Amino acid sequence: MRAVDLVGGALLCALSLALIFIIIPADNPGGRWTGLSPYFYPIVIASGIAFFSLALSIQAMRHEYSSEEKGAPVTWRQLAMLLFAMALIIAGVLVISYLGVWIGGPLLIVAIMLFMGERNPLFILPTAILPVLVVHVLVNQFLGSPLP
Amino acid sequence: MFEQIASATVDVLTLEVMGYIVLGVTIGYFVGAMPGLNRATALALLLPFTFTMSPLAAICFLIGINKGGAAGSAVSAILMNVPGEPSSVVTTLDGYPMTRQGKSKKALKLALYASVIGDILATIVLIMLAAPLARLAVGLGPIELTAILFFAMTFIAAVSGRSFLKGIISGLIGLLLAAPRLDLETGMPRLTFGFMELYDGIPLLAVAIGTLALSEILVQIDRGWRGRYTHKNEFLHSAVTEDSRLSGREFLASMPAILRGSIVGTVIGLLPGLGASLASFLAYTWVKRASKTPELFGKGAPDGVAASESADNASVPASLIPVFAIGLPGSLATALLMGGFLMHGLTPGPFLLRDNIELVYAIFLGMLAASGILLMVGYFGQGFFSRVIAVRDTIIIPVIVFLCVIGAYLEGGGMFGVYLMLVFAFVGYFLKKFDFSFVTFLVGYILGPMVELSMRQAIIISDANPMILLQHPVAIVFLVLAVLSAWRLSAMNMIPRTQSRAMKRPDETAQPPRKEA
Repeated sequence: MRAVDLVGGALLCALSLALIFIIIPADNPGGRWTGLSPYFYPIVIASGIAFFSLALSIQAMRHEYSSEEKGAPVTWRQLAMLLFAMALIIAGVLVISYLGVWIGGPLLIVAIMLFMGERNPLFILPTAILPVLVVHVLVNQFLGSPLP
Repeated sequence: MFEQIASATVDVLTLEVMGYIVLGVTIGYFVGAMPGLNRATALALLLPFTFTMSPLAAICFLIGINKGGAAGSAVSAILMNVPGEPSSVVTTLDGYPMTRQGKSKKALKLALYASVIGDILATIVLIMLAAPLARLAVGLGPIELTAILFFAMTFIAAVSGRSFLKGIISGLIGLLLAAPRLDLETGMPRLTFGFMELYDGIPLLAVAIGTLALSEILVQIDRGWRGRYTHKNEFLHSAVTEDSRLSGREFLASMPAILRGSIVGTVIGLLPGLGASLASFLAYTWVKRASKTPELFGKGAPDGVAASESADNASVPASLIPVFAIGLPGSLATALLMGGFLMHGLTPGPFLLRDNIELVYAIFLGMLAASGILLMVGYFGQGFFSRVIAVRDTIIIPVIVFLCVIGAYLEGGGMFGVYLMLVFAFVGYFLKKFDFSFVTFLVGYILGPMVELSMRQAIIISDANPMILLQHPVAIVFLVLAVLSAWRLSAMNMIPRTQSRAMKRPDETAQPPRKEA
């Protein structure tokens, strides 16, 4: 048995059933249509996901896996690293959103560099400023699109 | 026809198009050479920068990245024993031992020539096959098209991952992601939950950058901590006297291996979902079996490098054959290329060839030009790229994260696109960790609207009566093939296991693709 697939399959199955019975009906804007419902396609696809997720759970229960395959795909340490990295990125994005790319961009880059263990200011300073400068020139001047 | 070709030649031979091809190939070569980065990441990141280009320049730029990436991946495989892309894993088997013997430049040159030859041969096959196949595809109705799409998704799910069930679930999730938008028939907003930004569907770049680029960065970040992100570059640290010259005789001796690799790469590239990794592996096996000195393979045989690299690059143009013929992408890179077509208002498939043949000829010519430019960029830039790949990940990764944010912002959804991209990065991270197939996921997402449209048309035409299939033998054939591929291929599940077994070597060069210092 492989617990990860069993739980993953059950979770996906539950999510797709929630989609079919709760989320899709909640979205119904109440208009009228003739022929096939606009929700026909998502319901068919969600049913497919529910069916195959259930099959995945059943397969996980019945099949024998090697010890390598049975191991957890994500360790607690990796999960902590992921969450911390995501928190940094989200914080950087929020700073970009509110204060603009000139402040948020270098902050985001520096934060990730420090997180990854880079301590040399000779690397940190140019890496924080040059990409923002290049993107500014490329996007604003060359492509003519606005930046946050 | 000649008039159209002449006109297409004029379109391609402009400073804009040629300049973007050079830029695309150079960026692709660099990205391919960098361990941990790949073509799909580069394509996802650079798609938004093509908005202001002409459609021809944009497509040629993206194809240039794809071609450059396939060839560049040999650089780190040969010099550092770290494949720039999964498809170059096989190149490490003989490329790195050649470097240890002081033949790194010879291996790099051979890899480059093999890549360019494989690339040109497969491009010629693409040019010859795309139009006749597209003519056949024009006659397909919605019922046949639904069956073909059903077969393609099943086949890709069966061959692209370790688990068929996970493959098919990924594909269905991708198809489901195409559902939130204005309904194709009634024009009613569907599953948009009040977000007007979703009326045109979930932005391609939010999905592509999130699941391909940022999630890959998150996977790399979680592998190391504080200075664990460095590699040893043998090119910079080699103490062995360099035997750098590739003589004409040595090159000619490797020609049979290059031709075999090109054939395998073209055939495997043509089939959706199989990918360049399998092509390299099969070409290597074939050449080794045909060799008079198979015992030298794995110890620095030039033929091993030639076979693997020619197959890798031949699969790039070959994978575009189903895209041009029926609008069906079979890999991450081709799915993103198809996204590029769609972003520029072009729908790849038989009707593009019928209605816009001049543009298609121009793209084909651009592809041939890209092959020539690849030779130039590789020949003159190999020394430079060999040094650049030693740049620390602590510099590259933060810059890519920043580019991900800007790329998602540029598609037009503003910060909404960036937030969606972050969600998809999280989703992509777990898809990767739990072994769900990215190829089927992205192909499902790109093909979603087409699947829905053809499915609805088929149901309306048939009045929901399955017996109508009896009048459509082509559809029956593809449905049977779909069932067979699901049953046989997934049951055997042999491709990934065979590959991983073959990659194991007893000697010291058998290191994991990315060894932490």
